[in-house]
Amino acid sequence: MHRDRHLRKIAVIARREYLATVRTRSFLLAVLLMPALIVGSVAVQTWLARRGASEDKTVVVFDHSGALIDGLEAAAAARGAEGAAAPDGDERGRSRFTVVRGDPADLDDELRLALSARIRGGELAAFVEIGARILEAEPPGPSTMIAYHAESLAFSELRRWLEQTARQRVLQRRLLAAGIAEPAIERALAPVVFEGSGLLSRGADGQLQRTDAAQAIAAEFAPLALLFLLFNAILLTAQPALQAVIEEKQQRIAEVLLGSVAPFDLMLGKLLGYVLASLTVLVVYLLAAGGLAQHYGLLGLLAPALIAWVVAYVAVAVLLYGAIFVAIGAAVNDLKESQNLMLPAMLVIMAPLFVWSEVVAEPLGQLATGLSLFPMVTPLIMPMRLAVTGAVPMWQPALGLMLTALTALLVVVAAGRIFRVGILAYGKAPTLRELARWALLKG
Amino acid sequence: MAEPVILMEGVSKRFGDHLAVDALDLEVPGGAIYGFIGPNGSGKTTTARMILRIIHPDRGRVVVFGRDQGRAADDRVGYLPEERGLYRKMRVRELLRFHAELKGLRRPDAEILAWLERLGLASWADRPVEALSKGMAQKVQFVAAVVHRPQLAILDEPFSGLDPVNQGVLKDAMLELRRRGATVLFSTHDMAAAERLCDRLMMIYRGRKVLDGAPAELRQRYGRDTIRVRLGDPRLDLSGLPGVAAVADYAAYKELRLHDGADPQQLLRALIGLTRVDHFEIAEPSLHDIFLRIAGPAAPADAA
Repeated sequence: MHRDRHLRKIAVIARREYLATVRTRSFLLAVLLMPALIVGSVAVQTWLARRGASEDKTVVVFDHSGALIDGLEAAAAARGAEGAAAPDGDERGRSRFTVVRGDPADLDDELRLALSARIRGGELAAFVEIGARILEAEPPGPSTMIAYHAESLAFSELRRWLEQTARQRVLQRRLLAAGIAEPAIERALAPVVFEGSGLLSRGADGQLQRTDAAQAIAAEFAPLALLFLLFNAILLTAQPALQAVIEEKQQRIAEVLLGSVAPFDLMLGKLLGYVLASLTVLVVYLLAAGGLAQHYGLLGLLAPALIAWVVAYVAVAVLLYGAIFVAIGAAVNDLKESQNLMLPAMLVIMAPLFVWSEVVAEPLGQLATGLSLFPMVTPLIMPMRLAVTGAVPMWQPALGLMLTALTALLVVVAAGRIFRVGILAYGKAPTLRELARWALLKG
Repeated sequence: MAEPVILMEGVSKRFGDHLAVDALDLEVPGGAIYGFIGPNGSGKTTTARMILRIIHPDRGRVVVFGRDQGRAADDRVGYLPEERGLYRKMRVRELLRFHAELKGLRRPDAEILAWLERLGLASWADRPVEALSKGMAQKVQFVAAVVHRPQLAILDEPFSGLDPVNQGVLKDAMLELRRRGATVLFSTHDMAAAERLCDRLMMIYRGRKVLDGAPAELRQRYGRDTIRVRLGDPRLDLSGLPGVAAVADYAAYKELRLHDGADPQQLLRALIGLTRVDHFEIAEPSLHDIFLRIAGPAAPADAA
């Protein structure tokens, strides 16, 4: 058999598989979904921030100590005036807070219930009980506490503002009581500015360059974004591969194809089609990322070397995982039967999602280095390390790529044997042991 | 006779405990329409797959176009499997182009259109496969098997599921293939079709070849031991009459098979004594009858 005949057949299969994968509506949807999610979440946040401006919040304060209520009222008024003074920009996103004075003498459980009902009805945002001995801090218990009652506790701006303002006032009064002069207290309580800043470098013109804060933050999120991008690009084609093979088997398309092409060529053609489809997704994502990066002046994050590695890793990853899925698809009779065999495969592929924070925090540590050289997870871990730091020695991504390519080769050969036997075998699904026996069968 | 297109010698194939094909010898001459008959599970599909090199024999030689090596299918062969399978989402023209190119045909569009027109499918060329009726899908599958101008077409049950009109269309298509010099090997349950269409046929039963030859030759070989009668009383039980080994009832007439050496004249006399005889014919057995004798439920385990 001539080699170019094999290659031509592989190419015909690859082209059909590529078009069949890329043309489906679900593929298009999935490709567009990720950028849409990112853009969408930014848009929604902006919109919510603007909308928030019109939503004033009223909080009823019962101050048993009588020491804080004046200060809170004043602070709320001052905050409102500040917002009004800055009609444009970020300040517009702030909602106005109104502090209503409640009489502590009236406060009983009936009133608490009534207030809770009004909060549920949306009339009030919260009610607060300030303990009678809040300034003394002793004894521990309700009298030295501030209780905040509201529906939303975790992500409330009102709660953050109240907590901060009340704490500031309490500290001020305690220090005052300790005999410290008021100007000294003001100075002591002045906020401490703590800003995250990037590294310095010297530009081509000899000038010192600073990484601005936005870029530094983006750089920290880039590896995670990259991980999801890779994960998506690989699974978007590798997983439909399983369904495609099961369909070919169920619809008896496989036998027609095997009348025209050798089983190994058929599988190889399919895998190449999936690699091309994955690279298509990757290019779309990289273009989108490049556009975003340029818009925000963060093009430095997309180093050409990193892109080259990412492309190479996605290609071998699709070969590797695709071969596993294709072999599973050929071995089983329907999608349900494939679940048992898919579980271990998916666990390995998902592993990087569980350790990414470790890898990002210590990209040069033993765990990150070791994992990034373990062939089954190299394609996801290694690009992440490369994105975090430029200090990964060049031999590591090269070795990782070689090991993964070698593993992919072994898996493709074994999968080809399973494919050859499985694609025409109907009846009981094979056990893992039988699969292993098929994989070792030669000729 | 021309050089054989397919030559099988002592070919055996076993799947686990099941011996699917047992020491099969087969010679298919070039340019013939060769019929392949036999009950389900008798080894027809396994034999076809070995000729296509989808599977490989445990023992023996399979020579196709003078070549007995190789793993990949030969581009000169076209295959219509018994279990039909087409990509449902692809358009008809696109699908046929895929199959033609897979077989190495470089500019298949004219050939595709010619076949679609011949089979009355031209207006469906740009519809997806899933929109086709079962019969249309089967004709598309046939085109997929022959669009690359194969020199050998292996068609597994090409007529099953087709109405009589489409069976005629397909028969003409098969004759067209032979006219172009191709060899057609097809399997069928339809004895009448096999008898009309085949230059030569073979019967395989339990993995072994039990018949091989031209239809007329086969009928003669089974001798003139068949009596066809039409009687005044069609409900009469004839099984106890002298010399009768078996009775097949076809409503309009009955077919009787005699024991070796039994005298048809004696049977005729007995019949006249029982009822009016409208028709009495000493005939060759039909292929159907031969098929049933070998593969019927009463057939001995070692029919050969």
